[in-house]
Amino acid sequence: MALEGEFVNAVGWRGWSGPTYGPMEMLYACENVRTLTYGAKLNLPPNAAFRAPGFVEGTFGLECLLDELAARLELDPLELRARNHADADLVDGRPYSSKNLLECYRRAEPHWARRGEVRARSQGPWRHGVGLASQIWYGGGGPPSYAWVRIGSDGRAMVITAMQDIGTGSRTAMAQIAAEELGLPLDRVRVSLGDSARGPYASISAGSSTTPSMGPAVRAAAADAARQIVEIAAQRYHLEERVLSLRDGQVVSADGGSWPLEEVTGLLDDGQILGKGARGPNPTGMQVLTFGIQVADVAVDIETGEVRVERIAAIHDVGRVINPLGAQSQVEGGIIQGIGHTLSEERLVDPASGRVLTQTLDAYKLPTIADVPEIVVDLLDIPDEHLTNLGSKGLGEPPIVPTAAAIVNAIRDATGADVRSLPVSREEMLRALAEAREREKRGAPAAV
Amino acid sequence: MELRQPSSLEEVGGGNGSLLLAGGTELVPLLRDGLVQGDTLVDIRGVVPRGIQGTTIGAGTMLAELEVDPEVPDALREACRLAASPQLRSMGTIGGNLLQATRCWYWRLQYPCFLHGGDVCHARQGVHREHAIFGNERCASAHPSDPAAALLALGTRLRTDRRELALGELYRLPTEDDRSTTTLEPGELILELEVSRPEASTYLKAMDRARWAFPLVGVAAARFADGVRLALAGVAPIPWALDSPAALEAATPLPGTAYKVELARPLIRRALEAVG
Repeated sequence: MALEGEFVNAVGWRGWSGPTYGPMEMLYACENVRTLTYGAKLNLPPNAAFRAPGFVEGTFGLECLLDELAARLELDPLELRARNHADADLVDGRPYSSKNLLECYRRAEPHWARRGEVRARSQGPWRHGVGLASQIWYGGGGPPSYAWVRIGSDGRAMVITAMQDIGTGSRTAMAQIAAEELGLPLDRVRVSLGDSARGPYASISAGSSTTPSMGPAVRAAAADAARQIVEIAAQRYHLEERVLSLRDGQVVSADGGSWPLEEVTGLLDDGQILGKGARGPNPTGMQVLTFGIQVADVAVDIETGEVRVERIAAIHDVGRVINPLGAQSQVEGGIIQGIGHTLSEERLVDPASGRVLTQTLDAYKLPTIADVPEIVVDLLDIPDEHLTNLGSKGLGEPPIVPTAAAIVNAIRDATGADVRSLPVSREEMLRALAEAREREKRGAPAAV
Repeated sequence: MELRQPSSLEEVGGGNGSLLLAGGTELVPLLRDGLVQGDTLVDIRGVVPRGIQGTTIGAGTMLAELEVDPEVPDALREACRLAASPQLRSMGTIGGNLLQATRCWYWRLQYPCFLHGGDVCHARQGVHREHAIFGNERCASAHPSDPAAALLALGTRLRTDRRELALGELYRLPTEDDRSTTTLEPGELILELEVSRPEASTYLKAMDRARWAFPLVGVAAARFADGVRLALAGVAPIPWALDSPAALEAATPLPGTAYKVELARPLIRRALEAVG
């Protein structure tokens, strides 16, 4: 077997050519892969990075192709993906620091198995179907990333780092990490972010890297502070450090003794404890990646080309989950944004003047809440034992990667129509439906 | 900018630089974008009737009031319900809705197009997936109103402060000599709508997302004793009455709007089935 892809990236008048070839080179165990990628300079605004740049586009192409291959081979699309699972990095043979994609596939089975029942809902012009697509992306984070944890004599902690929370909830995640390490309730941990003049240097909040980069530094800083507290308590209460630990806002000894944290830190009067943490390197000789799969249910009106996404199940392997509610929200956001560029969002440009025509929210159509389907989020939450003191990977980008391909594969399952470009506007859907009818008339086998 | 709030029709005045304001959902964005200019806003809410009485609808009635009133024919209720967003429908009036400007991006971005008084329609040569399939020879813009198509199928008549006219007579295709899309005189006010009671009516709409989008194609059908009337939204520079389903074949789509003909076909069939 071989995979070959030619990728032409629109880079604008000056811009960046994203790794559209990535999924084809990385996702499946295929010995013969050839990709050719070039950036096309166009008289258009420059291309810039946006949530898993390159992989969103590359996954749409590859994962639709996989479903067409499965149809030709008369193989179940999920089975085809499982059979071609990559056990090590395909480019240089490095082992993965952790990979639980097969477990993701296993958990996808119940969602995938519903397709008979979903198809049976078809009635009149409305055809229902199910599609899936696999996800691969980075998300390991890395150094240099630093944090401090300061504890005052009042027994309250402050996490200090130049990190930014750009709306993902990473502020809360950092507080949780410090609170757990210090054995403190969450309301006794505050977080001071975003000032590299008064706090230690942090890496950028981008590339699904904030939590995997900063979380380990915060944990190390909290552990450093905890060690200093234990040292003080050991001296004061004449105990060995190894029998002491921090729990529920107390310093606890193995023999049953316990002292409120503020009693111990209160010994410092106006002094304070400053724990410092740095994020270590990623594991040498290993590839750190994120994985997942999404299963979409859609309904298509084959006369008007209307597409409704009815349900998406998202199963992702991103290492340890710090904040389950925040993580679920991150996945929902990625999927909603994915539905946007799959069905309705399109930047239209006047070919003569080069001006963007879709400059307003009525012209550039983001999904509304009425376009959002039921979203089922299932995160494996298996810590990566090779990755840092935290075992967490990033989740910002993975959820948007497979959404378009899963929806378009579901459209094919429902209607037999091959959508070839995004967004799946009425004109594209009606074109694909007409092509499918034509193919059927000629007696050629439909794709499904 | 001055705001006047007259309490009688005589005080409305009008004249140069004076803009009539009701819900403001249309006028304020046009002012903001520099598409209309003026120095005086005249709040007409005190002088334009509001509310529904039998078959008479005040032009100042909000879309949100029409969409829930059982006295209102189905086609108009459904067209209101499928228009805009709940917030906009709670502010926008039916009179203002009839007078909405096109969403053509070239017109909105102030290209010197035919509708703005220029020589060419930029949409015809450019990007025009949302544009017209009828009456598009000089200007391919599409009229954005859902309720206007419903009211056209319902055989609505209008009363202004100066005359009575059929809704169809409110609209005109822009010509070389006059680029406007309505026959309203400067300062003329729509006061009331007289909506016939059909035996059955419906409005069906295709749009790019589930809610809050202008129609790619909207189809209104109303059955009266003497037959069924059809009207379309989003297919011409003005709301477009269709004499018969077969009249769709006379469409003159552009390359990028050919799909609208395919889209209109099943919607017309379904609308006809719905009104029986």
